[in-house]
Amino acid sequence: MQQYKIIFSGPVSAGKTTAIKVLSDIDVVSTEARASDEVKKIKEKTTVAMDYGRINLDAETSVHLYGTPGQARFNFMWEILAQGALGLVLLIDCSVSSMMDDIDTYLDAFKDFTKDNPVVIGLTRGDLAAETQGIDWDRIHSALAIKDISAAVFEVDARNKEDINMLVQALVLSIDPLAI
Amino acid sequence: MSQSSHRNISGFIKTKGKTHFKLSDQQGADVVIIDIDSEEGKALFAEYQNNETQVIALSLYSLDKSSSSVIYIKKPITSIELIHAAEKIKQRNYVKVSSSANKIKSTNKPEQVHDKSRKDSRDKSRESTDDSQYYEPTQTLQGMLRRAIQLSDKEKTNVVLRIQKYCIEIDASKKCARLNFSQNRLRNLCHVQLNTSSCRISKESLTASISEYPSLSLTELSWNTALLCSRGRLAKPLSDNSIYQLKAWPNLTRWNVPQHALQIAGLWSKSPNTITAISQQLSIPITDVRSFITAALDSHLAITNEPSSKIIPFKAKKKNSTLFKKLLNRLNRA
Repeated sequence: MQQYKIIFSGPVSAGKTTAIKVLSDIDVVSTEARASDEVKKIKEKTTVAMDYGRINLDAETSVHLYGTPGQARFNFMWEILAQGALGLVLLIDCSVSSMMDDIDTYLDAFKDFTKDNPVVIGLTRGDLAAETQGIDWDRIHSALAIKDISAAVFEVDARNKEDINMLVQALVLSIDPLAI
Repeated sequence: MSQSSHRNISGFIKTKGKTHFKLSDQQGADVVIIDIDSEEGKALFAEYQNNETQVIALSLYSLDKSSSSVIYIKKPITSIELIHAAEKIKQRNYVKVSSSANKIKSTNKPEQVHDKSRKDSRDKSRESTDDSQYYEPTQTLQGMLRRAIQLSDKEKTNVVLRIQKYCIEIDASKKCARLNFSQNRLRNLCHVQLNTSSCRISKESLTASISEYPSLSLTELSWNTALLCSRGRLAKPLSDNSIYQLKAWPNLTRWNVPQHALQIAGLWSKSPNTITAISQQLSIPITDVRSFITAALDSHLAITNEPSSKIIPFKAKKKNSTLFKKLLNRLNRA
């Protein structure tokens, strides 16, 4: 049995659990608990250990999907989960003012991983961002260029299968563009 | 597409196809437009399918089975749909001609098949690139938009670009634009040839009436406009064999994209490359790569490299290649 994994990370409420649910062939195993800290202002329940889903490609091959908990105090989990992964899908809520800091925080946290492995970034809640200032693509691209990271950055709706599929396709094609 | 073809198609639409063209017995047509709802049309359609003539078939019914020689358009047809279909056929013909030219070439000189040097690909492309593959961006919305952005940037003020009733307000300092029309209309505007009298650019702000429209980033607007103006052609003075470098991936989930955009971005992000080489390595129509790179350059997601800069050809690793194929197939299917 060949086993592979893809990691989904990002801040609280960026859509990691939803994105994994959209892709998974099995019922997603979530470790959600009632939020007790500042997260409870955003949502009632939050992931505390990890989310787990799976894409079954055939009887012999499957891709495991792991979602990291969003709060920074669980960051010791992030690297553990990322070990041996094919790549990282970073989901960032682009409607909040901390968007650029969030990108920075997560890319720094995974910098050892992203040295040798691809990362793609999905910007969620773009509809809310459009109501205000819109997405500043220049700023995002410049931030990535400073870190010398060539990552696909797409606007996605975590509930939309097509969007999440495309993000994961970009991840795979970042590794091997001739794979199709 | 030439101005006369545009006029013919517009006339065809206006007269509902009844008086603008005469039924011709000549067999030399590049493309035939047939109304397949009538018995006469059906008979003609069958006849043309046998001799492999390119056909645009018009029908009241949704027939989503376009093949290599037939494109179906559901009635009521619009000039834009017809122009797109004609352009698609033109591109197909171009790909056919260039691939058969390459076949002949490789039959005569088999040693050239293995020669992947840049010089060789440059020669190949020069043979297959004719004038119709180029367009002058300054005569399109793409060029006018560039001018408006430059003016807004230089004068540090808002600039409005007007084409008849359609307005685009540019704010270069905030890197955003507002349109007083839906983005779908952008396609039509990109098909029109413009000059300084048909497209006016002035330093002003549109406040009240335009504020109800959401703003969009200049990166997105420049990308979409250039892509729609390009339509598989190269903006002068770009070249199939210059070396271009992708600095950042475009937002492929929301912006207009050519076919194979994910693959193009994936390969191009690995190393600076030429249009010809990307098309050959991915085995995709060169027109898709031209559109992508034209749009990427215009939206500052790409730059032109020095001719002496290095191209590092991408070599796929065997590790996990089967997995990637399976996973991509699965994601595509879904």
